Amino acid sequence: MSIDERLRYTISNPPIVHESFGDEAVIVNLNTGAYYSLDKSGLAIWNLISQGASIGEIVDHLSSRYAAERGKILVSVAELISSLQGEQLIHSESDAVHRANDPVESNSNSGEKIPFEPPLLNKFTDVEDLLILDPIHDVDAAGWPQKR
Amino acid sequence: MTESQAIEGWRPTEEQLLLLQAALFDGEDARAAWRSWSARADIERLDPGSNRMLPLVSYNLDQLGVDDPLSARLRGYRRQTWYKNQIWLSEMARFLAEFERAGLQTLVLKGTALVLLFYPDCGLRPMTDLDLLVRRDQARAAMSLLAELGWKANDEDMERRVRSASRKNGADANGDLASARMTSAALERRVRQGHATDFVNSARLRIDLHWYVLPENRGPDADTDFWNDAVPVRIGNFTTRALSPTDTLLHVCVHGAKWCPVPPMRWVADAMMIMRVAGDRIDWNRLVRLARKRRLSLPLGRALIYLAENMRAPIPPAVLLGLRDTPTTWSERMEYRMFSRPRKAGENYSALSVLWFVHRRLDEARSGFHSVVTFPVYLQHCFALEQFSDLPPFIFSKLVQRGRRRFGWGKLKSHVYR
Repeated sequence: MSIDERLRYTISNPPIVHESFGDEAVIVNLNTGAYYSLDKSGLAIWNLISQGASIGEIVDHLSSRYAAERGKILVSVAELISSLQGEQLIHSESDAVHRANDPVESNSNSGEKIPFEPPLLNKFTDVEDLLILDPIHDVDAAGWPQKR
Repeated sequence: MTESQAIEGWRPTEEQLLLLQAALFDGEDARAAWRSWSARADIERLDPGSNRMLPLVSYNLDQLGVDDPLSARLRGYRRQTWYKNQIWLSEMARFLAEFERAGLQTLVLKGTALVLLFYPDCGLRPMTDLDLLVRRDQARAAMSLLAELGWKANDEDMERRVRSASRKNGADANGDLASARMTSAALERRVRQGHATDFVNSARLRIDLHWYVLPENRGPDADTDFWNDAVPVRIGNFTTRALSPTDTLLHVCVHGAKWCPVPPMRWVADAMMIMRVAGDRIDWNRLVRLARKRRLSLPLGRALIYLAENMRAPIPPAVLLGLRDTPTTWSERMEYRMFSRPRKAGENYSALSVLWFVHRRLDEARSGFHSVVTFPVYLQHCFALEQFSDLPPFIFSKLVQRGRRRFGWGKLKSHVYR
């Protein structure tokens, strides 16, 4: 599979809004009410996308942080981006190829690399349920939106 | 606790104060407050006021690196608050745009303004409704617009008046001018009597439509200084207005120093966040001046003293002394007592008592005797009665209606004053 690592993407705002809560990014499509979450490597990828990083820059960043082959990380990043595009959370920048490379802040992590887990995009679409679920009494140990 | 503090039903309990300190203090003070609170409180049985504080508590604990068995659930509550607020803000932007298209000026009050201007993110303060201020002379037009957009007044009586007034044009076309005048007068009567009313839509979203900022201050120019000092606030792609930080602090404190069935402890967090974010932009001289002009020195002073003594609020001592030493009338003290003392379940304020205090404020330059003598005339104005002689039968019909609702009285003949 040939992946153009120069491609960059933009968060489709509006109607997409997002916020980082410590170790998790939450994303909402205000048109549908659908709720998404990303953590671990998914959170890192999302943050880099929002900073304007190209696929190549994202992969380089993750490669310096996670113990996995670059090729494997590249495939995982491409798959997540495909999912995000499919959900209309991001769209590609039309002038990505010709845009001057604005350097993304590099990860100067010189410590031990951590095991790589492919990113997982969690999606919740039952808006009514999301709204009425009691976040203290009706949830499991992980908290809302995970029901008890 | 002093005698005056004992009757102040708006003061947080000891347990609620610990939760507030866990949410707003720094460092070990916050951690200690959290440990004390979680040792004595049962999160499964919290009062609604404390429940609403949990997202802010979660944020502060995460900032302090506190890891607690409750942390995951608290973060979940914060995520849900953020989610709900984002959906709500998106809806708000849509109908605020409709208001603008209709030529109606808007200003957002309370939760919406606080979340957007003074809280770090939208996940820290649950919003249950939109408090929206319009100009007094645009109140009826705003209600008609809400009716067109599918909103219904939460009050059955108000809903009937709004719907009837909205059909006024149709009545005019049929020549039923007397009916049109009556329904329009009925709506105007309700507007004159109150300062705000609730609307709901099919998605169970709520708007509290205000035509005065404060129930205590009504009249033609009651809110001119608020509108003049309003600041822009962006909701999605739409820009509306909010009270300035100083005026928001006044509003929050005066509103907070009243008893409420849901413990009103959130006003403490709101006031602290305003002072934290606005900092030197708080115009303390304006705050005191407006409080004196509006005869609200007593509730504002009590609220600020509470913040200074319990939350280490950075309030200049001269401000506290100035408010404490501001002369108050017997009527102001009775009014504060009425609104700050706890009420029993099902106990409502007497409408006539509320209107009496409003009338006394509007008549402030005159003696109490003058206010007593002119009160019936004020009621005639409030109830939009064409003749003064209509007042006694009108009040009688209201008492009969109330008796029916409360005691199930049989149907009695009464004048049809709707």
